[in-house]
Amino acid sequence: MPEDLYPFKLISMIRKPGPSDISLDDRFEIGGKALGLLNAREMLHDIDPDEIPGIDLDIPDMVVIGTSVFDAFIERNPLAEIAFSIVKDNRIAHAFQQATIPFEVLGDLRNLLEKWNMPLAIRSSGLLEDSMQHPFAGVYLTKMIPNNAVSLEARFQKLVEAIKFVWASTYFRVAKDYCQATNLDIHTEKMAVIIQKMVGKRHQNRYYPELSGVARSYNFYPVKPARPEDGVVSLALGLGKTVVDGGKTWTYSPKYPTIPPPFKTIQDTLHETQNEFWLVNMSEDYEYDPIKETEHMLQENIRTAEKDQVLEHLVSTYDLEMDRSSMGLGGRGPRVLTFAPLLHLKTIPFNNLVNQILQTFEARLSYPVEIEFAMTFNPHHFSLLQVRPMKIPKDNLVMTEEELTGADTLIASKHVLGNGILEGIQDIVYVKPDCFDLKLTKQITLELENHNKRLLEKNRPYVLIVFGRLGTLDPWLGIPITWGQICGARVIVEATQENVKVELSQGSHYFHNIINLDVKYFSMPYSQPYRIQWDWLASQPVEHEGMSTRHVKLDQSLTVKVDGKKGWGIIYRNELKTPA
Amino acid sequence: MSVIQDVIANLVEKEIGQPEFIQAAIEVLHSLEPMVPKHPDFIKAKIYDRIVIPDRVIMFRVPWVDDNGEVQINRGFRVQFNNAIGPYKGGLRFHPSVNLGIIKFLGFEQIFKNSLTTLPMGGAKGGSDFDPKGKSDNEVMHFCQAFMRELFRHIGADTDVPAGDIGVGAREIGFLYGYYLKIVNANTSVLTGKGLEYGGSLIRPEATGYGSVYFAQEMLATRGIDIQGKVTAVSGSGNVAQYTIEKLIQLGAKAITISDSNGTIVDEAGIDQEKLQFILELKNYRRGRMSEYAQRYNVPYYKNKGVWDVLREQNIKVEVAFPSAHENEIDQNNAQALVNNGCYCVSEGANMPSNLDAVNVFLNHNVLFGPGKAANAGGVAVSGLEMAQNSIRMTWSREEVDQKLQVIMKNIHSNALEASETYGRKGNYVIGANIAGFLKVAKGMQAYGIV
Repeated sequence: MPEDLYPFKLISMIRKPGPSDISLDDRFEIGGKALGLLNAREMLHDIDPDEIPGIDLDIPDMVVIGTSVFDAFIERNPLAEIAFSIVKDNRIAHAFQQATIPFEVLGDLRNLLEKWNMPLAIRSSGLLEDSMQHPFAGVYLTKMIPNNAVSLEARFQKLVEAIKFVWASTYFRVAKDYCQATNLDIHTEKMAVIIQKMVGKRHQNRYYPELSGVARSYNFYPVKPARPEDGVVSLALGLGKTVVDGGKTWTYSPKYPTIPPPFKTIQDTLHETQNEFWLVNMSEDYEYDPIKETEHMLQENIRTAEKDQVLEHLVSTYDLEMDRSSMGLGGRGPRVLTFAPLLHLKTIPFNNLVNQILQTFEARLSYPVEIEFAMTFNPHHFSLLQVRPMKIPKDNLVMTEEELTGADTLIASKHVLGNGILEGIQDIVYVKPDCFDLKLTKQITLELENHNKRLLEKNRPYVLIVFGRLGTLDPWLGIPITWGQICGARVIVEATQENVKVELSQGSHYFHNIINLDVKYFSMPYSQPYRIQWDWLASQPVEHEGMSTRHVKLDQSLTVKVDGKKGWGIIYRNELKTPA
Repeated sequence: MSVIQDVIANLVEKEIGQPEFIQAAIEVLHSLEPMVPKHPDFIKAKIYDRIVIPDRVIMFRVPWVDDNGEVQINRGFRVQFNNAIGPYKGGLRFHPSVNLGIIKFLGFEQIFKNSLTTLPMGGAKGGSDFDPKGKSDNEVMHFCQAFMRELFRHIGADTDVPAGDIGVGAREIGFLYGYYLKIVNANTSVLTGKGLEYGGSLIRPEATGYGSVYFAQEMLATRGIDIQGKVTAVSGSGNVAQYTIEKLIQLGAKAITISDSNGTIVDEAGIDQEKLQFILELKNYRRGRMSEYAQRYNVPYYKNKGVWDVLREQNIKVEVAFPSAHENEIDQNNAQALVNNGCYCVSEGANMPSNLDAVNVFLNHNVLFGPGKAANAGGVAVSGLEMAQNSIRMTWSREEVDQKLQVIMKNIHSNALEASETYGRKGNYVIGANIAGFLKVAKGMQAYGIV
């Protein structure tokens, strides 16, 4: 097969042997992710190259193993019984490894590897995946393989193992739980697999892209002055695993690329920015484990990337003596992944490109979109890895003014971060309004930490209601608590009252955590008319009482509803009769 | 009712809506009770009544334009509290929480912190409710310039010398100073915390850590003990902890612990220069975890535990403790365990790392206890040294600044010790530091007559 026969090919049981070009006719067996990329390939034509001088834009070459192959694999081996059982993931994974891939496609796979001897990403592309209603982001697994062994047979073996691993992940616990939670029938899922050339460069035994990221055209956790529709971008050095796993990334609004994340101090910036990155281990020295996602992956410190000379467009340098950071690599000092050369100095029209892609795709799809990408520099190459429509608020999230003050409304606000409906919470920890005094905030920190510890041990998520700026450095403004001391809270409410009329943090002290954990964050400034039903709270069964705080356990679950589009939210005292 | 109670009652009545300031004033005034009977002249001159009222409060609007072309307005403050012993000196805080009560509270405390250093620095504080968090560099610069457009007329090398505080770091000081130069056209020491290239001082990052060791050295000397060869525990792994260990190594002491938010290592062989270099690379450049130290040097690592918990649980003996991590890290149990395991000196590198119960344990067991306001005054001291260098148009070498820092810490110690002795609490540096700081200012005020 000549190289130019790729980039988009399908290996299928249905068509005649040999890969064929993918078209929309194949949509029934290429899965959501591949379909998204197929559409994206068309949409990329709308990007004006003159607007992004110096950057090559593409979608990496890929071959899709259709769901017909997956069907044959499951039927012939047979694997259905163990797949749908409740055994542990590793048993399912082992069973899949021991099974045999349909012989009809083996020749195609071998042929592929004769041409492709670069690192490969083996990705899932389920039929249910990446649809707008059910974004399976992070549910199925991806495997990276170095694909650099001398012998074709050894490379073939690793490719086959990786394909079986991705197939097996269709039935892992997290996928089953996700299907159950979203009322999907896992029996209807079929898994195509994307074999994609990996974006990156080799540095000795390390292979990785200089930059990876996720961009969304809609943001449910906007930081002022950005609005939800201004979108959000998260950037990381190395493989995108850092972003997908919720690691330390640089998050900004593409409309305001020079506004940094809300770090309190420069020391905060040092602590909260990425200092380790993921790469593909190209060495033969690895621990054999075909059912481990990171079998061929390693984490390295940013110092290694500095030695690899890949930080030119990505870092600022912190001057220890001056306690100040400056953009770029000038001077000695720790390198800080602020992406300032790209975003401030515009060494490359990167943000312009991201904006263009988001706007173009959103216009074409008529929905907000999420993209995943990776980049290498010198020459500058931007590769689109995934495109999916974003789940946006549905009609049942819309709430009226009347509901905000309704009888069943425990808490309401028009300053809420997050989106969606949360049910099943029966625990509330709150600071008692009658004895709250800003003098006591340090003592309250200890009480809240104890509540958190106890509830975490029992695996009970809770609603936390506090006064003032949560997480402030200044105990006179609110409770100076760290995230680790309240990490079990799924909903946080910052309230005010007559003796606490301070400006609220609106989640900015923990923005990274609340975004990754999808915490609903209610701010209740004194100027807005909505108040908490303290009397109702006081009448609930007390589970634990502190000097200034109280933990109540309700007889029935609360319902938390947040309309991320408007930033409105309600905590109902009970379960809604018409759940989402 | 005592005179102190009268002053407090008056404050509560008059300073409505300033709970932080009232609280701070009450704490300071109460700590002065032991000295009141010995100074009837202070009562006569109404020093206690006068010292709680600032010399001057300056409030101003700070209009500026954000990146979107929108006009933004913030409130600016400078509270010049007391200049009895030197030009007003105190930080600027940019934080949404800033209001008059908070600035007064901070300015009031600053009088005594500065006085304690024995350097000629009065007390002041300033700032704005501007929040630099989430602002672009350009917006921060525009704000700083707008702030200085008013502040410049109230400050000066011999009048008032602001410094940084929360939200005002090297970047903001640079913008503020640059604009001052532009409009006043006078390169004078009008701000401290400046960059090294334009008037800053060496030894600033090291000052707090070095200073807490010097303070411990002085406390030990009162009992004829040399710090050389002593087994010490240091908590934290930031600037203060790193330079505490560096100075301990220089003085021949043995630091056996260091910690970060993930855990604690105990290296009973002692952290030597080579290991310290590894720590500096690990924490400052790699920003890695202390567990890597444990792996490299094959020493125990206690995950998710602080230094003082580990010392208590493992019954590890140390002679001198340097809590240098964060507030309230030593509680009563840990303090008791330290005492039981032979610790006889504690020098606080962090701000209030020992809670009140822990402090009482130390004082009740005759432990040499250097409270943060005295033991970690090295940072403020170097601000004073920056002013001094600017005034004489000289830049001192590292060695010179370090030497002067040592002298200052010695003076702080001797003043606090002397005050504790004079007022019947010999060796109680908590009371000694409070009284010594106050006394110098009060005597200055008294000398000036009723002004």
